[in-house]
Amino acid sequence: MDETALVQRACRMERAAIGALYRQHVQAIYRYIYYRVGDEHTAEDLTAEVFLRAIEGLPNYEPRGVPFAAWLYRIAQARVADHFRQEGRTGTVAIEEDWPSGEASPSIKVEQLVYHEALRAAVNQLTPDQQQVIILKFVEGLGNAEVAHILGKTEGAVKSLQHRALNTLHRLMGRSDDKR
Amino acid sequence: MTSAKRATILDMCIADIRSGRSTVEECLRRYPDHAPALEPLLREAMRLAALPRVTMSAAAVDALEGRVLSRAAQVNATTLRKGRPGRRPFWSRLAGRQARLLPLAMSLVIALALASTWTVSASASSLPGEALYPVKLAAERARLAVTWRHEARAQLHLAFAERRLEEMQTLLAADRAVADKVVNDLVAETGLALEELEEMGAGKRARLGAKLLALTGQQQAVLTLVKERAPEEAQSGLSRALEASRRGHERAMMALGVTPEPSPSRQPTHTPKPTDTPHVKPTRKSTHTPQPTGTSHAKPTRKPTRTPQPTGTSPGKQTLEPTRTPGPAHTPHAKPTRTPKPTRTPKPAKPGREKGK
Repeated sequence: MDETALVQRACRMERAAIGALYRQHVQAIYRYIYYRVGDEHTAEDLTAEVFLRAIEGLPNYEPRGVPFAAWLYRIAQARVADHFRQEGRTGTVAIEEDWPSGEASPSIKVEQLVYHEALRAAVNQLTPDQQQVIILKFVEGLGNAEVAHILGKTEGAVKSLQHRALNTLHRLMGRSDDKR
Repeated sequence: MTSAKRATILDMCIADIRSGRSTVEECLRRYPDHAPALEPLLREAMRLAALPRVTMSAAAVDALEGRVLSRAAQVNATTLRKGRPGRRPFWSRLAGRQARLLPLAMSLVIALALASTWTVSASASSLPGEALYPVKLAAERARLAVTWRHEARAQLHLAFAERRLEEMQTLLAADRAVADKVVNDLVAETGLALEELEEMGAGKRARLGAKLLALTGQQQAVLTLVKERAPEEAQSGLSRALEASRRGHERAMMALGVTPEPSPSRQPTHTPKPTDTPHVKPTRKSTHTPQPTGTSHAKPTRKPTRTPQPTGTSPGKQTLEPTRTPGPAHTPHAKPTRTPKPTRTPKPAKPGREKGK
């Protein structure tokens, strides 16, 4: 079933459609949040908030030709911003002792962990649009067209955002890059 | 060279490297003029692409799905009573001049709203079915719309659930019917309060959790009373509401870290009521009724007063019959009044209709 039909059914609060949409997007939203907050449990809590808010907004949701994921990412971005506001910080996070579940091996080197942590913290210094481009392209592996669709921008704008984001990341990661 | 062109070259290189069509070195050789600027960015991009693809645990995904679906059910119940789901707010359909006039119109509306704050305060004591009741509900929704913190939202939902319960008690005391809407609202508000409670940190849960426990306990008693007096067609809805209330009670206990007691809550609600009532009424009548014409029996309420008039003939014998009819035990109200008198024609018609239901 195409996404438009699924979303329409979900807007009518059909349980099966809501379940399907949830399953389709939950991991991507979790990853997006995880790479912003850097903590597995906080990421789970915020992912829950995103979907619960989305459900509350569903009766008034209007697709306007934008993928459903775009709406979820927007909610996620707002939740993450709220989280940082409440925590009184801007996204620097403590390194977890355990790497979260998934493909990553628990035996991953400490050096690599530190580097990942620094990279994640640097991603948090980017503008919201740049963060989304970086996460959608490099973590989710989406192409320019899909990212542009989700962000409601042109592919040219996505390329520019990527270019500026990588420049900023390189600047922020300069010291750790030298060490490597 | 423009930054757009640099961005395009970078993007092409990234795409080629990620798809395995070329390496970083090959890309740099392809664009020697840009190599110094391109190299660190390409290496940064490759490190980003190597970030582990974390996933939420299956257990967490399943648990959250349950919460999402249960919230969906609550939202559905709320939107159904508010109106057509998915309807766009009117301001999103305005365009051009209309949209520009909107602030002015809104100011006017706000001024009017301020001027009529007394209406809102007056509505606070209104009951379902009264003119000001929709104002009361609108004021509640407005408060929720500007409240974001879980704790504050939980308190509001809890307060609104308490109001619905008070309204039901007032209606019951006045011997007025309790509309389904009030029951649905009570269940929805309680569910939303629980959702918010579960979102709160464990430390903040205790006080609100205790209140919710008390509320859900009281709810079951009031809903049971409402169910006893409700007509047949409302019974299944009320059974669901009772069940939801019981689950809410258990969830509140779990949120507080108390293990819910297993079975006792189930027994009272399922069977006793339908069976209790038919026994009570027939026995009363058999003793009281020898003189049916006297409409002065206050407690048996409407039923006895209506029945005597049509027949008014031989009361003494008729009053004994009702005890035979407990067969259709589900329809306690109908039986005692109608069955006694005529015994000839009306009786077959009525039980038949009831069974049909």
